[in-house]
Amino acid sequence: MPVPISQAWTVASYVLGQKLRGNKRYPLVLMLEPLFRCNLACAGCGKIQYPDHILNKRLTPEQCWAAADECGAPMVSIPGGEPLIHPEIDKIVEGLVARKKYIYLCTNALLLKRKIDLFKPTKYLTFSVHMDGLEPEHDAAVCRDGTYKIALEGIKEAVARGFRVTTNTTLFEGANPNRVREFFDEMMKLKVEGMMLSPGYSYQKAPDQEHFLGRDRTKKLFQQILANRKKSWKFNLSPNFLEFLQGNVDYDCTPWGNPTYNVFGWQKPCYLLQDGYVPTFKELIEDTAWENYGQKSGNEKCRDCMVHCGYEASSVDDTFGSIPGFARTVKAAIAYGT
Amino acid sequence: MPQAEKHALPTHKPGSIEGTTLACTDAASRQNALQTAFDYRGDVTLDFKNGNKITGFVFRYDESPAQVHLFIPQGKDSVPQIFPADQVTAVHFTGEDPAFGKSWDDWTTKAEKERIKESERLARESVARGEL
Repeated sequence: MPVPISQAWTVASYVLGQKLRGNKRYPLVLMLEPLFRCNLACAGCGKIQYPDHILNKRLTPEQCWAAADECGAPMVSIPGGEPLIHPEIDKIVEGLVARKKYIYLCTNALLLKRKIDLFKPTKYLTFSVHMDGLEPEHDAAVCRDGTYKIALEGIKEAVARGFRVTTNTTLFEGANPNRVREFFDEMMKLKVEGMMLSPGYSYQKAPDQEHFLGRDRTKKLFQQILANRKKSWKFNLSPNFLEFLQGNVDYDCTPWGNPTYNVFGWQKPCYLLQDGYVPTFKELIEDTAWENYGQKSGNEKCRDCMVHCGYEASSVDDTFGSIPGFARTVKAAIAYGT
Repeated sequence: MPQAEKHALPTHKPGSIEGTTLACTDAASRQNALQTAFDYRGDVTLDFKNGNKITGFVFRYDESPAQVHLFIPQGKDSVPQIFPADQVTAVHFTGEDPAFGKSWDDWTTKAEKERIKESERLARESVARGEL
């Protein structure tokens, strides 16, 4: 089981509660971006291309907690930018833990060893370390030599101290399935709790659109990677999402599933597209023309997207939405050992 | 839809809209100019009917009510302010375009020596900011 039973139970009871209330649009994971500043500058990244005065902006802990309260999702993912740069990241995490939110602090781990004393191990906090492959692939992807080794040290330290640690990996055009499989072996040797995977993020404003995977390529790549998968591999993903990535099941996007809050407000409609901002979560849910988004809407921007922030929520909704969906999940879970 | 007048300022960077201006001569050209400003990753300067000029980052543009939201730089930080969109007469793309030349292709077509140099410079800047 790659997540604690308490987390699985919290999420299951939350989703079932939403279903019983007839709430069709409920958030699953709050994407909380407390800053855009990063200590890496990966080519093609669309999250860090701002003027300095924007990169210098930070959400306060109070703003972060208010967003978590307003949204109500049981899980909070903290990407960025690099969250460990935030001078009050420990306070932000502490407040979210007090609210019993399951937190995935997404980090490149360059500062993890230096800042780890700021945090206490708890079932509510997971360091989700950005690892884009084995050393040559990772260092090339983040455009700086030496980062893989530093991240590895950070992971080892966090695991040794009893923290929950996962890896998160983004795969782009040209990824070598065999090398990805070797990478999985290496990550599992580090005793991480599980691995997260996603095809390349087609950020609308990313200065690079050519290297993100199209749908057919995505399915083929994930079929190659996950064929004859090893039992030792643990994934921190819904088993149905892994099936979706391989084209074994079809979903439409759930863009409200992972709402994004950052220094500009609540981002419309999702983590990847920036069609505008609103000051409240209520406005985001009620005023967004959701029918204009998702692959089935015909929106060009959504055509090739198979990213976890849109489809993980669809997978979870499928699990609790019908008996066949639940049966699919159980079958896939057994197959993946999750 | 009529296209807004687009002309280059002396700072124009070929391949980017940095250094260009979009004049707002009617509602459609104003909408196009402000939407382009919202999509732009650098600062812009807005001209207003009363002669004022405001420079900042457009982080939100609403068509109804027509309002443009900017972060106005103040020292190293910036503060949000809202302006009526129908008062804007021109949008100048005055700030550096931080996304320009930052694609994966741009990176890989650079010589290895140049990539190493740039990577080291960015790392030094992060160290100087206390982020590494």
